[in-house]
Amino acid sequence: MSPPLLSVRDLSAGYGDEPITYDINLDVQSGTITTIVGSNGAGKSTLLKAIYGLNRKFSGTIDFNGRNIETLASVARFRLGLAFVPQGRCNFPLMSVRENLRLGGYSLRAMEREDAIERVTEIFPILRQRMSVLAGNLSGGEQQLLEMAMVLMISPKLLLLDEPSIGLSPINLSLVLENIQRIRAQGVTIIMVEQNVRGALAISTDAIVMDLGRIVVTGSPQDILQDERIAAAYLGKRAAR
Amino acid sequence: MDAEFALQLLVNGLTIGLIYALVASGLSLVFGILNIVNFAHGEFYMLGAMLAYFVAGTLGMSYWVTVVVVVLAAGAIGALLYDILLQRFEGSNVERGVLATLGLSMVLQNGAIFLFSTTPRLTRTEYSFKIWEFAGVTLPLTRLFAAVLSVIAFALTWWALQATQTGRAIRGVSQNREAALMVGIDPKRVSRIAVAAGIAFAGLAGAALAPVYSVHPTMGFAFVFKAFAIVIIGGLGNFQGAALAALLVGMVESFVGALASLVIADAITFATMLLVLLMRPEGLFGRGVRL
Ligand SMILES: Nc1ncnc2c1ncn2[C@@H]1O[C@H](COP(=O)(O)OP(=O)(O)OP(=O)(O)O)[C@@H](O)[C@H]1O
Ligand SMILES: [Mg+2]
Repeated sequence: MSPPLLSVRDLSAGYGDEPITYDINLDVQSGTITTIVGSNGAGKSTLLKAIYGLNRKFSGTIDFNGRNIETLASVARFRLGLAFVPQGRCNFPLMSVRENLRLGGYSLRAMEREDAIERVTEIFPILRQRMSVLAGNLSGGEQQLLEMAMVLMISPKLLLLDEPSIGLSPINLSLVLENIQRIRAQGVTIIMVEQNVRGALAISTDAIVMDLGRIVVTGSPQDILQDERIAAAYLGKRAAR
Repeated sequence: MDAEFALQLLVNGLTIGLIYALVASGLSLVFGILNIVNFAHGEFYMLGAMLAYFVAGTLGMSYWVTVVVVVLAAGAIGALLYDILLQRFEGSNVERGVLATLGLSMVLQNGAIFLFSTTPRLTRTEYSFKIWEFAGVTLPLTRLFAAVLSVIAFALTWWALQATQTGRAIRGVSQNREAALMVGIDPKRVSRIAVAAGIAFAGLAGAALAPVYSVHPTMGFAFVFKAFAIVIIGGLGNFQGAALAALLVGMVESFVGALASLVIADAITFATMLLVLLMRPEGLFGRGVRL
């Protein structure tokens, strides 16, 4: 097996004086979709933020694409091809879709930027008809697609998605999940946190269950869905969805 | 009131309004990006005027050289202000940041009193006492240049905010910092540029007005309160709104000041500010046109 794209060792991270996630060990292979599930407050967002460098690391190492990144600022990690779409709405609401995409390609040269807009609007044709609409006036599902499109502008190697389906109607949920598969088809590796366990696991290659700041189970999505003890202990009612 | 007089008042209101726009939009730029109300903004206007007095008066440099020197110096000081002070208060410590700028304002003001004394000084330039006359309206050249410089600075910045990546990034950081981090914008770099531009605006206003009004250490104090009123009327953090409100206040000052008194003009300005705070806290021109 080729070396993992992302390799996390004994990571503890959190905010202020106390770690929220402990002893995280994680290997992610290129081309996979890994879904992290777990109850509210389990530390899922904290883990994604730690990988992107948005909170405080207490111990451990993170290797990405053969480089040690745990001491780099998030901007530097971004330049190496690591992208993160946070939980909740995360765009520039008073700018048009086109301007949002241009800012997505902030680190590109002008020519590359326009090419990249062409490329990402091919993946998300829905955005093409909305180019001059203010991002804040898009529907929730469209905004989520826009945010994914913004980070795809720089063709990241690894995309971290924190609850991409939060607050979306069932139709928008399937729209977003479908588009996540299209992103993977472009050669982007994905780690996502999802509360819509069934829908997310159905398109995933790997699954992780977190509880109380730790990874408690890793395995294939099928194993996790079929193991009733896991479902009962960690996934609660959500697994039934 | 005859037409000529009315036209004169209009021109006066426009020129003073344009200078207010410069100071107020600088304040607005800093607030828009950091959410920190910079109470020391008026002192940077004062320092700009002092430096202009020194460069033009003492060193005998020409008007235009003076303007360039002061703007560059003010921009550099703005970058330092961000690096040394303001960046420490970004995000969660905004209230402390506001208090810090209040402290800085006192330090700068009293430092200037100590170094320069409170004696008002007039800055002589090659354009002093020269007057531009058109259709019966007279305008001292120094006022005309101040107005023109404001328009140029404002138009350039407006263009940069809309059409350049750095300008877009400034608006981006001001609209959603988290989203800025998501797309690989370095908020510190962008904030430094915005603060430098905001302080450069204050410096430019100081340099442009040094030959018009007298220069003294407390000149920023009264000026900045008017700028606050303008920024609130225009909508906090709203760059264009500040400019429109400034023109409005300039007009009120010119007309009401000439026909009644300046005291009443100021009363109208601050009463409008109160009304806006009570009835339209998003500013007269709405949120839609924010940075
Ligand atoms: N910025 C912060 N500062 C301090 N504590 C935080 C911060 N963000 C989150 N926490 C705490 O960290 C713990 C884990 O939060 P986290 O957001 O990682 O959970 P989560 O698994 O993503 O939950 P959810 O499903 O609700 O999004 C919570 O107890 C939360 O209160
Ligand atoms: Mg979360």
